[in-house]
Amino acid sequence: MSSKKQADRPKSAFGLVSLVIIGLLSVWFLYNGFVRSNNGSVVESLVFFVLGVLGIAFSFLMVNRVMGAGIPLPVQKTPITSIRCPKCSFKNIRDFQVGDYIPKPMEACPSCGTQTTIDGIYIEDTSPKKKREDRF
Amino acid sequence: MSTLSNLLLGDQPSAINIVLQVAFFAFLFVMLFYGQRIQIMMWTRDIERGLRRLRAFRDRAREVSLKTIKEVGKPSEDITPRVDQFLERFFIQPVDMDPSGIVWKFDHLLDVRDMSMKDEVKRLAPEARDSELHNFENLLEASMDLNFIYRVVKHYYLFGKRTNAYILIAQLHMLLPMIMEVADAYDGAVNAFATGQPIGDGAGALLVNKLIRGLQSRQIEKDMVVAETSLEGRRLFVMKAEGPGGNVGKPGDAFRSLLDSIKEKVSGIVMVDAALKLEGETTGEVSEGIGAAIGGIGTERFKIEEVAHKYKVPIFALVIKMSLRDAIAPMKKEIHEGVDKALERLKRILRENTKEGETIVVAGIGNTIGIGQ
Repeated sequence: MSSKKQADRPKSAFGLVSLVIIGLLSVWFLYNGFVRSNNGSVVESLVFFVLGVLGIAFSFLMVNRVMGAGIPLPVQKTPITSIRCPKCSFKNIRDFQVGDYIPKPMEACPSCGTQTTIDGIYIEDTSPKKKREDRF
Repeated sequence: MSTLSNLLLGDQPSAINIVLQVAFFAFLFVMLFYGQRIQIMMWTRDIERGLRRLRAFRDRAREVSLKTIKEVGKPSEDITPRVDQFLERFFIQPVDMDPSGIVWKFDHLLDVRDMSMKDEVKRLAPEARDSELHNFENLLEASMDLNFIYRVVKHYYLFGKRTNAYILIAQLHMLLPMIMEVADAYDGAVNAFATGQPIGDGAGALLVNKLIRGLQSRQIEKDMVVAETSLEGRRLFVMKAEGPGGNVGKPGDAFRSLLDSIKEKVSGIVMVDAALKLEGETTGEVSEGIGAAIGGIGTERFKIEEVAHKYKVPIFALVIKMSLRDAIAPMKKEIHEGVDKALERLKRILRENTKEGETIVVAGIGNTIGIGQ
């Protein structure tokens, strides 16, 4: 069991060769497209252009997978610790530290001197909400 | 137009015409004879990608477990082989051909499993405090589950490939998104367990914590604490698992002990727990119902239903909704806010279903990691 930051993918020789062939073919299609458009063959040049562009797009899509870029593992967010005074409205928010728990007694409140406690430890999700779900 | 018809129909042979016709027939031929194989190849690729991700999750969990236990537990020898053996542990469920009495058999086996795991964790981390030992137990359990998922998926993938059982590959491919969701959830839990952060499942425990903060609590059963307070003019016995270590306790046993010990009549039980939301529902939403709100295999729910039936006490359930990932990942702000809403709902339940001066038992169910008394 080795330590890895991402789900690595073994490099495939077949995949690399196929990718090179598709890339070269796409360039050849694009070249033919230019030649035929100069000759006035509109439809033929269009077909070659479409094939060339599709081939290039496919190559770009495949390059990440074939070259073994891997799938990055999800990054875990650091929670925040909210410290509150039980008497006044004093509230302090900082990053979570190992050893924090609810309701761990903390330092004295700077406003009224009462001992503050950890009131909450949570993560804030800042990713945009999917609007499509709101339609149903 | 004539150029287009020539191109498509092939009246006049041209290079592009020949290329397109050959490509068309080659495509038909390939799809006719090899279509299914191509489909299986694509499914296989997806499963391989999923397997690599599962292996990475498993490796990360194992790495975090080893690092944390070594740092905090300060073992005297290399614990790597012991941790690897721990990850391969299994649990054999009791025979259910004759279901009579199975709950107690299950309960006994779960107790033995729990005790044996605690002993093993203590051996791995001799210097760790009790709450840290509970966290390590949770951490190793999450790593164990990730290891199990990886091994099972790999087994079906290799078996399907070896025997050319395309139905098996197809089924695995169809189940893969759900399997990955579960694995993703466990991956999210690993860090929380390693550092002792509260998780979404602790919503019930957090509500109870808000009720008994600053009050004296006492142990009522193994890993369960109870405190007495008052709310809306009612006398409340409030219980939760003992924190802040990762712990779910045995609420069934605690209910039995508590109801046996309370002299006056108990007018109601309110159980607060995290519940799985359906897709499209909002995280942190609060719902109420009737019955014992507690997950797990069912032994604890069985015991609670038994004791409630014995004393003829109505059981109200209050749940805070979240996804599986939210339940075992670090607690989200929405869930933290949901607890405040649940507290308001609890007051309303008490006002509407009981009278002032009556005695009520409130139980906060769930993993109390990062949440003390």
